[in-house]
Amino acid sequence: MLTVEHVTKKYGDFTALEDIFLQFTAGVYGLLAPNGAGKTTLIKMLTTLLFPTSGQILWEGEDIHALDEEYRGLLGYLPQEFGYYPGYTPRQFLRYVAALQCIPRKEADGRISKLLELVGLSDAELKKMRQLSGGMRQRVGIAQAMLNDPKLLILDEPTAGLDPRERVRFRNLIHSLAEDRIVILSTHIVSDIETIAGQIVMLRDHRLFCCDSPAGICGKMKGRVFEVPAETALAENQFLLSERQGEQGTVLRIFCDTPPRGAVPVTPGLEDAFLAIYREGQV
Amino acid sequence: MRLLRYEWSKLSHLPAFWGVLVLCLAFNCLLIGSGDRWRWEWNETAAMTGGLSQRVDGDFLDGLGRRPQSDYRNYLLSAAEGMTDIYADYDLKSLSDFYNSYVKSSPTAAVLMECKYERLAERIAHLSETGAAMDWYSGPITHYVHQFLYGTLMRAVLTEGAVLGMLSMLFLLGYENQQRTAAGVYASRTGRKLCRWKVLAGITWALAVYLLLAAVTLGIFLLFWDWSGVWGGSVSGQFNYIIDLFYPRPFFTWTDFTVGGYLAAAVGLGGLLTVVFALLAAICGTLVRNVYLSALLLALLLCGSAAAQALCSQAGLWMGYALLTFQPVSIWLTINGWFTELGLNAFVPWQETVSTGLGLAVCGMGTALALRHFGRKDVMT
Repeated sequence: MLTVEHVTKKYGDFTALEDIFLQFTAGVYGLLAPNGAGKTTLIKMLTTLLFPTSGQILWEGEDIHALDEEYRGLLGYLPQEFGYYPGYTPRQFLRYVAALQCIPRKEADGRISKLLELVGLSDAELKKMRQLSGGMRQRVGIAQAMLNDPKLLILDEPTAGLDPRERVRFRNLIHSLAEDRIVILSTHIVSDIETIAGQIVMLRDHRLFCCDSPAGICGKMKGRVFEVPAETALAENQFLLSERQGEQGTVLRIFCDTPPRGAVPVTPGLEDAFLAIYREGQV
Repeated sequence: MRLLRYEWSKLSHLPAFWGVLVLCLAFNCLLIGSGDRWRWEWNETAAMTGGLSQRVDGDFLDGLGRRPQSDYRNYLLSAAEGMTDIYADYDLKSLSDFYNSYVKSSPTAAVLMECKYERLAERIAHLSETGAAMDWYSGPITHYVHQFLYGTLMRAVLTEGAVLGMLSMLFLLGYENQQRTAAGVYASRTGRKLCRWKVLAGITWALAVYLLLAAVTLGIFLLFWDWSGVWGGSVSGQFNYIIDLFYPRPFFTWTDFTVGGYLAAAVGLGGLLTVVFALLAAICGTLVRNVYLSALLLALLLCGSAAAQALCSQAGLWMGYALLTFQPVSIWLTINGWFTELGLNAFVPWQETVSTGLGLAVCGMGTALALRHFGRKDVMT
């Protein structure tokens, strides 16, 4: 179990995260917040790249910085900006990562072949990384994160730069990898995690806003999301979430406690919850 | 070990590095060519004295006298016949007074300088006992060729090795930031400890580059210059002298060096000094992850310390000057007189060796502290 125990991270006077308390057990966690909310800071602390200003992060009750390489040996990480060596082939790059993960060469070669197949890159393993598309490189990134068969898999904005087809493929891949391990998937794209995350962690005002199942989060919005015709004038406490094309023209999806006349209640989705929680530029 | 190989591979896959290395070797070849004005005389002397011992005695004079008659043979013969044991009655006082007069305003520096020349007096007595002054090395041209080999060629090799070593170290330590792989790499099992491998790879690489440059440059040099008969001679023979601050004196070394032994020692010390420079780069590169900023910091550090030494001498702050003579740049500057008393550039016997040892210890400790600091600070990507 991974526990984030009252962690605060400050950069000088700026507080990036304040008093975060979270517990992660096996399953997929979606870390959902707009850009600048502190997702990457939290993830960098989970990966030991950053040190908490106060509080601690525990793996099975022991501080991750005290566990040092023992902890990082259990960790698979795909950074937000996945860097690579342009002159290496995917296999060479994965061999290098295997060396960093202290995986013996022979054992690594077997795993690399399996992972390249899993991410659909067997045919491209001899191409230089610079010749691969953004999606293919991202798949190399996922393979390198899986190389040590991690107990804790952390993926920071993993679908950035992927086309819709690759996003679906990626979601399926994560789903298949999620057994018996903690997967933390950070994103600001709701559709990435809506179907695969068992728990959603939301940050707001640099604090933990909620950690709940998608159904639980949507449930709290029940009876507060409506659709109204596009020409409807919205009152001060009625927030526009999104627009869509209905059968009789454009309809507005709004969030409010007291709906305007003619408003039709709809079942809230995770995107509605996200837009409602982070309305008016709140992070 | 696998990680060490990967770090070396990052350097070996850098075309610019090999380009610069080839340019350095080409430059060294040009330097070797620039010594041509002494080459004929050196090789002719080698041909004349081939098969003779290095010690100039009756046998040597007889042997040289039996060589075919020529103006050059006569010139060498007269030079050999005029040799005396210059160490037997060497006037050290004027030399020590000359340097002591510079530093007398600082009592501690003056005491150190006096002690150094007291030790040198013992060495001169020993050199006289061994008759080192009577060694031929390679006759009247010795000083020019010795200074050409050490003051020009070896200085170039050391400079190139040190600069390439420092740049390689900075490149390795900034590589992950440049390739945007820092987050992934430092979150791996190896983590920030990768920097230890980087430093080790940088040191060994710098040393290998220096040795490669030295081997190729000296190899080419020895291909055109006949040194076959001189290796066993004493480097302190009377034809070898050194001029510092317009004061010429014999090549007093702190121990008995043969020509071969001296070359090996100079190459070896150059290697260690290269490591010191690489460690300095490691400190800058570990503390400042940006390659360009760390290179700037390193350049400021090296130039600044040399400038500080010059300013201290101008201002008459001799104790400060004495301390600054222990810095690596100062040692690099005195390469043509290593293992000798070095005049105003040294305040203790074996200063270049002591300084290099201190440099290794201080920079090694500095690198260890910088790595420790890096292990405890946030990785900003």
